[in-house]
Amino acid sequence: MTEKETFSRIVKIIKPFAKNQEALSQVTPETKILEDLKVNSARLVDIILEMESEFDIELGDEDADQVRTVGDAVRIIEGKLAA
Amino acid sequence: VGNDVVDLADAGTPAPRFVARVLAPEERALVDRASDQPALVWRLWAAKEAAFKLWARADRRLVFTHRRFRVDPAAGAVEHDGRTVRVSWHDGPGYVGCCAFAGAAPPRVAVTPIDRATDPSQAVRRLAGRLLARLLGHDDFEILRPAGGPPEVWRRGAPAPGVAVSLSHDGGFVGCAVAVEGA
Repeated sequence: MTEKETFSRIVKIIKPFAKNQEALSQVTPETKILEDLKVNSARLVDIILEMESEFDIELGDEDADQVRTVGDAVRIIEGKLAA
Repeated sequence: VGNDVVDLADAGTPAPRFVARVLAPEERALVDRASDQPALVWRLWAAKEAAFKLWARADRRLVFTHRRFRVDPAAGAVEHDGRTVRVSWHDGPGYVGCCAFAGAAPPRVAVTPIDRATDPSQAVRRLAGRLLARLLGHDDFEILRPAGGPPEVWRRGAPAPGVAVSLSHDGGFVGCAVAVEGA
């Protein structure tokens, strides 16, 4: 799987939880999930859980805490998949 | 202070996986016995958020390990890694709210519904500004987020001593908690 594919799959996961769909339509790796996409913190937990299922990985609290941007999520998931 | 508000309609019924991820075993046992289980999950969640916001002011590297922020609703407290903070809930129609506080008495809180077209960041600042003006007796202050951190009350170019504010918004509600020494 390429990094681009990982990015696309993550954006697809975030889509139903993002209140700012306009920002999502212009999403980049630097896009902040909470602030820019207006995802609330409880929904971020749901996103983490969805990412675990989608990529068949485990994301601990320390991993989840590092997910601020979409790019962070890509980096952490790529790291888990490579391990 | 730390404050959180949850829009119950927006939050909906929490998924079992969410509950398992964020609640400690003793909290899940409380939920199992509750008549309104979703509301209790969100009350516990709001308390965890409020305590995290309070502690994160002094420790910007604090990790929100949800399960380890243990809420004792009967005691009105949240415990995390051997330290405890008091919390107070302020629920209303359609929302639950909670504030964590280090002072002797709970801070003043306000929650108001907003139109979905309204910018919640601006709305919550206006709400907190009105509450602060009432408590301070003047409106010569600003609510700022220095270096993108938690909100602070500033007056004439410096943090206002003895004044703390915490802001929250979720769905159709904004809420704030304000503590003023001596007020």
